Amino acid sequence: MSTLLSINQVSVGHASIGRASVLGAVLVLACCGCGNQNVLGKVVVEGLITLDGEPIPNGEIRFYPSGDTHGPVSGAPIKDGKYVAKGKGGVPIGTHHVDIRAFRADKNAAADPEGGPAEQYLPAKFNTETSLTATIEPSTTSLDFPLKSE
Amino acid sequence: MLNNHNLIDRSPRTYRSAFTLVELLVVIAIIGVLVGLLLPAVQAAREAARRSTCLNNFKQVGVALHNFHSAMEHFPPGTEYRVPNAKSSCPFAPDPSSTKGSNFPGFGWGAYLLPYMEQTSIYNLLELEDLPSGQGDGVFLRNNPTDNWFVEAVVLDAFICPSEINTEKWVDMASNAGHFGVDGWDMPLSNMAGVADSRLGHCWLYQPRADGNGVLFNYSKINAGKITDGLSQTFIVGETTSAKGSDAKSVDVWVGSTWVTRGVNDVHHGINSAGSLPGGRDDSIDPLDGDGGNRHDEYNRENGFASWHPGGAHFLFADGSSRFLGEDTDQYVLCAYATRAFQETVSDGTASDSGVCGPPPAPGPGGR
Repeated sequence: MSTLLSINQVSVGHASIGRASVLGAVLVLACCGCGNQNVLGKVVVEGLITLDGEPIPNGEIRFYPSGDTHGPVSGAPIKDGKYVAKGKGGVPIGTHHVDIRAFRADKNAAADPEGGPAEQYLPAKFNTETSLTATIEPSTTSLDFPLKSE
Repeated sequence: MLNNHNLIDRSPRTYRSAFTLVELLVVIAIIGVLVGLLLPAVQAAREAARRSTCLNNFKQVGVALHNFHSAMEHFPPGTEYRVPNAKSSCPFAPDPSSTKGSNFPGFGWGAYLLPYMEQTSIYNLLELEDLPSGQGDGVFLRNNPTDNWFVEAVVLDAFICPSEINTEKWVDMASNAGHFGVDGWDMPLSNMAGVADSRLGHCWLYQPRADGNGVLFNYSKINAGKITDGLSQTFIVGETTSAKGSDAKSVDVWVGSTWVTRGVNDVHHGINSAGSLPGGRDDSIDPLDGDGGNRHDEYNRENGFASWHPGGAHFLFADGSSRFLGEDTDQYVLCAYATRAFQETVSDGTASDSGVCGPPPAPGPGGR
């Protein structure tokens, strides 16, 4: 009886290991189907943005698809000169207009019920009338923008 | 050993009635795996139900907009809003026949829809015209002697999607007053904003433009005949979310859209923009902290149309249909749908460029 039991136990043990591994395999296979398929082809891009050599403390960068590139707008906040465009899977591969804005609070402004708008202080050639462009290749990982105000 | 065997042989029942530790662990593991498999499916089903409720709310707003159009022969104004500010330079063209004063933080499209959404009792309390001077600055201040203030605290679930994380259901509109609901300039939350323009819905901060190329902008009076892109090819309302920020006094506040006023936006960010909360904002970087107390400025320039539904947001088209659009939707398609009369062609997931897509331009001169 005890032999029988122990055999039984062992076999149960084997079965559970087998079952677990099957379930594990199923789970792994199921997870393969999840996640961002990246059908558009996007890459995470990061970099340093400076104005006349100084990192921009607070701002935003946006990549607007241009020409034959079709996809969503992408970008990231800029903090202390650095940005990591990783939202929604990154920046679509292709050509883009780049819009960079930097903000600072107007310390001398009169009190406004809503705080008053922050001042955007970069020249228009970097944002509203941007001449900045970027070409994102599948191998692109880093893209710096050393801006010159002159 | 032998004794032990005898013991077993004599009372086998004790062994039959008990599980061994290994068996128990195996059972627990199997149950755990099954629950683990089931839980995501249950959560997905719950989110699908929330999305369905949201889609239905958009559809109902579409019906209300068309009832308004049938009665008034145009869609409601996106908002009627102007507040003087020395730094503002905003194209501004109110109805010349308007008797409203120069300082008029007037109501948004949601307020004008109330009679068409079975909220007539609330609508009848509203004072839609400007008040004589001396009776409060515009219509919103809490010392306003009309019933407006009570109406402005009404939360309407018809404008809210259940996926919204702001369970307190209010948003802050100014920092010179109390928070947490019905005090000061806090307004009831709405997850819907009118589509005012393809690039620039606001000139600065919270002042909406009066010359949008969409349907619901400041002082708009668009009828179906002016929507030459086609009613089924033009956005009228889109989904937004609220976000946690802090006001000029560093008090935590919710920032977002409300049905009471303003409540318009543009599509230049795309859907779930990179700077928005659902779209991948890293809150450790540049949270909605104000940078000097300008959280509305930040909210408007960063958030755009977004939702907590995975992968996209709802939009209501001018023909009354509502659709879920994915966050990877081509930006030219969003621009084509946002404009009412630029004759773009939308085909195979992309659209022609009508020159009003891309970075928002500088607001034009003029106005106040």
